[in-house]
Amino acid sequence: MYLLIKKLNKSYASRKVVSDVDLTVEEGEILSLLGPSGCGKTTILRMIAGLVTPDSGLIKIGDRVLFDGKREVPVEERRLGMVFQDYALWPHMTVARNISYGMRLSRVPSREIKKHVQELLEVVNLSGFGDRYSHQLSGGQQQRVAIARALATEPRVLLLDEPLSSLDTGLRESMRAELVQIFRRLKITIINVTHDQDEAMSMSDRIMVLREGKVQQIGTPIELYIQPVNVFVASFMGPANLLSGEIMQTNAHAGIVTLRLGKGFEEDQIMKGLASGDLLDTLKGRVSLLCRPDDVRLYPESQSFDHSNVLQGTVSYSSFVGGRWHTLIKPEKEEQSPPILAYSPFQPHLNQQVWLEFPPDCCQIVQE
Amino acid sequence: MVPRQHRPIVNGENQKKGVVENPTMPPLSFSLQAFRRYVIQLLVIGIPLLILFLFVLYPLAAIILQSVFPQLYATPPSLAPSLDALRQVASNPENYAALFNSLWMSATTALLASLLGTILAILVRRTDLPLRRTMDTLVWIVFFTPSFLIGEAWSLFIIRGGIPDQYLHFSDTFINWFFSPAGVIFVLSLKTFPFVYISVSVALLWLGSEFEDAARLAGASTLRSWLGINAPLLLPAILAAGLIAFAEALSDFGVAATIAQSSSVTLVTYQIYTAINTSPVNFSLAAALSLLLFLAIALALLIQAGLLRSRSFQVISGRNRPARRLSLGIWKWPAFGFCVIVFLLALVIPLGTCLVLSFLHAFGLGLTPDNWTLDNYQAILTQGSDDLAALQRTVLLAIGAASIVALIGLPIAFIIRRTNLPGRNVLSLFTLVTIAVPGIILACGYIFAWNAPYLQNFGIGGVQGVQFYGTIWILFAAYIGGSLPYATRLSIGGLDQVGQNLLETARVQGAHLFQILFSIIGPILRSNLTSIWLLIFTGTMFELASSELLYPPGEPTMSVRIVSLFNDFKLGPGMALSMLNIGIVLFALIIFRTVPWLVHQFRQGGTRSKTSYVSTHQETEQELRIAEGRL
Repeated sequence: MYLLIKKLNKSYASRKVVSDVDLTVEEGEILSLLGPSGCGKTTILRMIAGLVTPDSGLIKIGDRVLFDGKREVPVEERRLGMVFQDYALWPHMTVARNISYGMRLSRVPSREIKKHVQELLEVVNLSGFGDRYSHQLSGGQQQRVAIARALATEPRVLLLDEPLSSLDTGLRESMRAELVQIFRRLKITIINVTHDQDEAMSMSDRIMVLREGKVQQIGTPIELYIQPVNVFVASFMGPANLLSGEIMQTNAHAGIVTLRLGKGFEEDQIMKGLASGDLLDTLKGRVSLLCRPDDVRLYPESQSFDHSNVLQGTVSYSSFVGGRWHTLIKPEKEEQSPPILAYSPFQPHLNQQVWLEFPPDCCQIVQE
Repeated sequence: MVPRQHRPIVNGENQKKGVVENPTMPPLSFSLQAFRRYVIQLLVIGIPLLILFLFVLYPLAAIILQSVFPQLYATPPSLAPSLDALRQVASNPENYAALFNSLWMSATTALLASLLGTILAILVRRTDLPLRRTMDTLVWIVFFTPSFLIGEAWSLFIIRGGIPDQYLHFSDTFINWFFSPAGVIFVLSLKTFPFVYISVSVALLWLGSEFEDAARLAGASTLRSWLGINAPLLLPAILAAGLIAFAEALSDFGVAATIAQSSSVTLVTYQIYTAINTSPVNFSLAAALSLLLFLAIALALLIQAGLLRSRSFQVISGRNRPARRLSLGIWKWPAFGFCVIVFLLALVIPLGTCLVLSFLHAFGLGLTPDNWTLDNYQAILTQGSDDLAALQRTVLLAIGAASIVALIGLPIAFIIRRTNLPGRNVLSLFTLVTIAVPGIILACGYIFAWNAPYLQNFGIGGVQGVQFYGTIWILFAAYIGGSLPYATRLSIGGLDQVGQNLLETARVQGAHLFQILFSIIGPILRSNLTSIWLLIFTGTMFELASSELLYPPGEPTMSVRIVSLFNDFKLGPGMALSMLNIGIVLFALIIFRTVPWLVHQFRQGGTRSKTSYVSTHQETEQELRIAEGRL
């Protein structure tokens, strides 16, 4: 356990922005803090950096305590690296001087500095750019300089504050891959803040999902996608169909939950879904059946199934997106439920009657 | 791995200096490093604050308090309150007449200056007036020219027996009209309209064409759309600018000391000066008048700040909306003629008079060939002349004051804007309030504060103590104190443009306060700091009020010398000295503006840098707007 955070709290005025956050990060791990705007992820990052003082809690890196409620190590002494959303390159310095700033502060001999800067420029694929100024660089190049600068002081942990959000979409994806490559090679511990779940999923070893200052779930991208603990995480991690209902019975041994879809579904439609052991114990009250659009099967005619996870509905919208049709289906007799999203292999017509199958082993039960 | 190879070296360095990975921070951790850093931090914050306190707040408080606690500096000092001083003002018409004069004349000036400044601003900024860029520069020249020079020059221009009179034979009525409040108001308006011009120019920057376009689409003529739509939108800016002109006219000393005296008009600034400078000295009157004057100015500025409070000026630095230029059509040449007349009156005539007179033996002899001479200049530049001494003295003082103030204005701005230090809001308020203090009041404050008997207990003053009052150092301190609030506000304006991220990054990289100021903020704000330096240098070179009250006997500054030469009717030498003064300032302006530009071009090979460096023109405007806008 390299970075440890325990019961971190922060309030501004009467608003609690970070609430009892616990986190452990292993050395060399890439962890993303994911959540919508205002969920507290940037505040947590800045508290790790020391730019914001927590109200209470513990922050420890290695065996060095950075904050423990009584004492706080100032920013300048934490030896962390940080990359800001707008890169914050100093406009009056060349790329080389930007990168070498921290080293010059520590009075590293200039020959070493020169060598190190060259190496860093190679690492970020910007060899030969040392004499340029920031206004002469493109967005992607500026970002790489910012990363090189953060790496120059050999920080124990690298903090990234939405580093890709200022880039164009196409550039973002290629930079993602490049960054992960760099980080893996250097085996640096990374805390990455983002609101983009694709970015979090493609870059991270683990993700911590936050909402309104509270931790929702921590896990690998796959875990969060396939086994979210609640509706928020489920819908944040990707497109999700969520059918709300009440638990009828649970089979803890097989990990199966039977639920009755309420509110306007025909004769209290019954469906079955999976739930992992720990989650199963905590489920109570209203839950949702999660089925990702990738798993929903769409049929133009009635079929016979060996399970009851079937709904009938009418097509309300469809659009062709490269090889298949994104289709929205309004379930029959539905009043409250939002339309179901499915990917249809055939072209659906407006108001066409279709049958939706939610294969039970692709359905996950999540807490409302 | 690439970075890992260096890990031992960097770590080793750090370990030598005691920055190691401590398991926890022991309660009494003490390292030489931390202590040294703490001391530097204390100095960087403490010294500017100390200077601010000693050189600005303390003298100001001294005079304000003196007006209601007249026994404050008696021996023994007593805090017995008394309204005697204020009563003295109210009871004797001689005493309050000056105040009354100043108030109504400044108000009239404000009206005229507002009219003039607004019209000029619209013409230069929004129409296709010919030579508008030149006009813009000329306004700045008017802004920087000292008012005592303009006042004296106009006196000499109109005076009976003056050069123009010898050829044009002015009528008595005309001369009498000029040497009356009317003339004073005339000169004051010419001197204060640049403030209005600058403020309205800036307001015009964010006034896009959308509004008048909408009106014109609805059928209104250009004139109607301007009068009906744009004028009301500009009104708050114009009113605010008018209040600034009012405050500037009120605090003016140069005009009060020259043409007002010739016109037998006493303005309150000059009366304060007289109260101190004649015997018997009337301290309480000076203090009371200072208090009242200060209140009037402060009130005007408060109202002005309130008018502008709703506007967000961040918009201005962000984007420049290029509004459409009005085509003047048949009004083009009349408008141009109008502008020419304005600059004729504000610049050409006064400065021309100065220039011509500097080359004459005696203006009474007219423009005859025998009368032309270089003697005036020669006399100044001879080794050992009093004038040369004054010149050298003033240049040194100006360089010193500008350098110190530019240097400490930045840490104070940083404290106000970028730290969480307690009391920083109070500090900000002080820098705002002290801008309103005219030089004459501050100088009086210095007299009270630093000549006070109780200081002898601290070993200052008296027969045996360290001499401060009566030496050149108190004048130096007054220059610093008078310009520090301006410099701080301008630094704040510059600092606000530096993104917080740039500083946070430096902190994460390990930089401490002093290093951030020196290696990040300083260089980024280099252009801003240069502008501040030039402003203070120019202001000090031309400063009159404090200099008159505080200059050591026998060691006058240039402005004091010039005015005393005028008073002795040695006009040739006086004007020659003035011309040299202006020449030095122009020289400094040229050096400081073009040399960095040249270096920049050389270094960056002609590529234009953008963003964080706000364009100089916009920047200087913004600076002055902020300073004069008392934001």
